[in-house]
Amino acid sequence: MFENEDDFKNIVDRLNIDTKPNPAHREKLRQRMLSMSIGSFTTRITIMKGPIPKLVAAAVIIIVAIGSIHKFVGSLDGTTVAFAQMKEAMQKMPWMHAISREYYKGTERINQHWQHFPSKKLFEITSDGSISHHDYGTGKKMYFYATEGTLTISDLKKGGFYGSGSPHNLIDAFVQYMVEENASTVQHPGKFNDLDVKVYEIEKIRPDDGMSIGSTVVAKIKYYLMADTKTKLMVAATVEYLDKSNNVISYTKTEVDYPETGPEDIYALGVPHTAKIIDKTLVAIDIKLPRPMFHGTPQPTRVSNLEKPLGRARDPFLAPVGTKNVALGKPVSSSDEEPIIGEIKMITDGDKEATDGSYVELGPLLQHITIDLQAVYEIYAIVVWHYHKQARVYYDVVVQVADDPDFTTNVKTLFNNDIDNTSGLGVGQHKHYVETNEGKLIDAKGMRARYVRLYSKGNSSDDLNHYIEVEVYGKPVEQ
Amino acid sequence: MAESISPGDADKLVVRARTDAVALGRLYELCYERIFRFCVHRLFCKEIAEDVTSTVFLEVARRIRAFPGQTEQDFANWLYAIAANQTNAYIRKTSRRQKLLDEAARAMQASTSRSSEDFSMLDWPRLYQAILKLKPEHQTIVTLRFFENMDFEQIAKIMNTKEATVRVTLHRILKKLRNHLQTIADGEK
Repeated sequence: MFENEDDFKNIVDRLNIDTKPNPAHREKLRQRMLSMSIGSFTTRITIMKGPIPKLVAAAVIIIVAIGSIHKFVGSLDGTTVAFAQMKEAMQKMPWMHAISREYYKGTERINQHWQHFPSKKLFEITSDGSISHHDYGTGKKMYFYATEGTLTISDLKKGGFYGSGSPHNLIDAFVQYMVEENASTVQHPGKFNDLDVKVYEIEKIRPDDGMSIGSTVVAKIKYYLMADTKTKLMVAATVEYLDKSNNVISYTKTEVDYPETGPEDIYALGVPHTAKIIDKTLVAIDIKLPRPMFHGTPQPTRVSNLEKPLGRARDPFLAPVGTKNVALGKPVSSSDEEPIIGEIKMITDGDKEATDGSYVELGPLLQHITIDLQAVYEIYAIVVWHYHKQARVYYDVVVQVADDPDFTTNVKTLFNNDIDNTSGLGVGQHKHYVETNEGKLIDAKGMRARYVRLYSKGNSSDDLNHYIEVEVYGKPVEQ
Repeated sequence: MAESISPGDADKLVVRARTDAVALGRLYELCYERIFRFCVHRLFCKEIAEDVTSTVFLEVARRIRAFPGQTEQDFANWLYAIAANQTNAYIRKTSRRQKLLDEAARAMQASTSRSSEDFSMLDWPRLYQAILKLKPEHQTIVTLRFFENMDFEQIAKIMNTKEATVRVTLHRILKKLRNHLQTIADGEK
């Protein structure tokens, strides 16, 4: 029997209790907590998806980016100088932190942003728990899908709201947009959280033809930017979207502060280290070309709907890291089981030369070959060399992918130049092309499939069908 | 493992965490293990402890903006207070309490230790059963004092009471614990 505290303490110290935490729970909870902490700034939060267009979602980025204006296009009634001062003050700060609340039909969505001016990095947490990191210096984007637990890495698109170079591009576009639409501005003193501010009201009528929120057409956008009169720093902003009767459809309120530090990386914002990384960074795929058999690209004069030769080498084709030819050595079947010349398996043997012994010749009329990739792949490009010893054009070239060898399930047509549908596979929209040593590259846009089928129906020299090689560039499907 | 950080830096984190998710995330890393351990000691089952730990930190996320403390110690006391409330709320429900007792009884049967009569060989399931017979607030004091090794001053702050009250209460609690352990030992004879 223990007599006092010390006795009892000794008993407790001898106990063997497993208190080791589960790392998965720890990470998951961290993510949930950080996501919820953004919502702690208000009393209620409703996750809203759908009705607010991208422009509204991007409003906070516009506001945040306004501090990044490199040049102000035109003049909005003398506001240029004031904005320039605001920009200068903001860009002296290491970090900008903005919390925006979007309101629509009684619901609220909260996003949080950090922007690091020196390195052009932008972090964002949305109220649904998704977290993103846009690095405008390197042109890369990371996006954590909270619902799937995956972290996707990809290239920033060139141009557009989220284009590489943004938010600088974005604000230039924004200002240009306002100027072109004759936006008007008003300045007046005001208060924000007991702070003396100068309020810049910018009103833009008829902002965007066809722009709507839910089913209501937006007739006017009003921006209220508030800058500290002493520091010139922007401290808050409100964006209102109004209908034709001047009723507010939706609005976004943003508060801005300037912390000394910000997130070091996307993991610091709650992305679990265990999140599965899906790398969709684009690199040029390495297509080894065979020797050319003729110079230039002679044009067969009898062929209609013929695309003009590029006159130079094809641009590199970009696909996610790890994309390779997944057709090499894979089994091939053909509608013509007994080729006139060569063997069907030569189509995926890696030999792309146009010499004798490197091609297979199939019979006349519509023929097809089918490659079984033996697994489902994300297919980014298909390159086909029919016969490039001469400047020929093959007719009714149709390229399809499917989930089954009979092409009955999930059939997708990637290329079709059968413009009069004589082959019965649908009316094609693509042009005829001249065979060269570059082969024909068909963009498969990451389509998922196991089987690839190519049709043709004779060529500009004879009525036979030929294949030297078919390459399929893809990646295994991420499970 | 929790990262190490100087007390001054931890205090700055606490102030920043009200409006900064990054700072809050770092505080979480600093405190998670302590709170989880506290919950395990109060709730016996790790799965249940995970659930309640989640509740604690989600409560923190909801209320961090209004947290008035300035130091890491203030934050830790606040966390333990929330954790104590959440664990007490959990075991106040009879069915849940019974579930914990059943779990401890199962573990006790599987234990190779001798009976609770020999206190030098007392195992965790038997002791937990005895602790669970105490009032929830008294369980909190036992856990903070003997499992978290806190002094009376900190326990008093967490429980929002006087230090002297904690001292006197603990004396009574230990007397009750002896009786509960004796009852459990008698039942095994």
